[in-house]
Amino acid sequence: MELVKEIVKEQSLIIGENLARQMAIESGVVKFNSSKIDDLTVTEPNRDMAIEKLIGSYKELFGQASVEVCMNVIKKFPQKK
Amino acid sequence: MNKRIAFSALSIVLFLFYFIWWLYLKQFVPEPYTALNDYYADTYGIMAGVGGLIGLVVATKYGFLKSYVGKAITFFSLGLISQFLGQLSYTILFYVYDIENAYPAFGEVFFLATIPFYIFGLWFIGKASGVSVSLIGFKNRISAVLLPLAMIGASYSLFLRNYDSQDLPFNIVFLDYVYPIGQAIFFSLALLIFYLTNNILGGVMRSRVLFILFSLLFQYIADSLFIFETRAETWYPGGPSDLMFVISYFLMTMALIRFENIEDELRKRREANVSN
Repeated sequence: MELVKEIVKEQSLIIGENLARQMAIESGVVKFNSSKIDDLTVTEPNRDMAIEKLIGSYKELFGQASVEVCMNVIKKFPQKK
Repeated sequence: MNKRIAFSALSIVLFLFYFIWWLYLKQFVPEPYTALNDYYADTYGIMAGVGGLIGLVVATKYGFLKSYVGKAITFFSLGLISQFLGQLSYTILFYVYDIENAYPAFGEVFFLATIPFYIFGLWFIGKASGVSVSLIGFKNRISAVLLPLAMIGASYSLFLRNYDSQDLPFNIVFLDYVYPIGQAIFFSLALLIFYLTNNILGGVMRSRVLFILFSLLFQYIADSLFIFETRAETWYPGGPSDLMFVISYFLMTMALIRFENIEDELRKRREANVSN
């Protein structure tokens, strides 16, 4: 799911790729196929659930500030995707 | 032994060493210009150098210069290293070239560099902490302009209002203006970040960011005290401002080390949530 990738990539610009990957994995909704930050598979079939869990994971780091970063990505993402 | 424990132990040992040394000077050395005082003033910068190197190691965890947090930690670390190099420069001038009272000398380049390094560090920690979101509001945008101006005005009033630059060479006048104003800028940025992110910054990073801001308060106090003592001609090696610098370097080091153990705290929080 492209939106999930964009959220992870945006978070990696803030906290670095290692921590962004770790938090994404710990959300339980993605698994990474290689060391590249955008080479991931979303394991949660429900789109809204996946995004909610991912945001919830990043929220543990900077609180609402992390949520706002994720929301900004969602707002900019084309609706049709 | 993990890195955080090793770094913390090293920093605490160094701090205690210089703190106890300072107490000894205060209690048992009545004359302020002994060799022991000089050695203190010439070496406490090691606290900053070690702290800076530790910080650079911690920054690699966040991708070094590839992320906002990595950049922030890197720039704060470079600020600490600059403080160390500044002191080292004067130490070399004194002990190797036998030049006393060399101010202003090449070492000032390093001390001056601390200011933009800390400003960049604050810029990036602010971006990571949600300052951009807070600046959407008009009131906050006004604060972002007024607070630094107010601090610069206060610094000017405290340190430069009755300043007489007559007969002083340009380089000294330049430094006498730049230091208090530059310090006011980085300190006002720290206050601004605290104000702008107070309602939005949370999670495990909140305490870490606040600790950095708190350590910069001590740096500002140390710098201001040094300027006061110098202007009043009451500064002496191993005096109060030197202790304040030791404390500020120690606090900044410990603040940077706290970014090393994010995973431990996340795990503890999750375990606490599960058991609740």
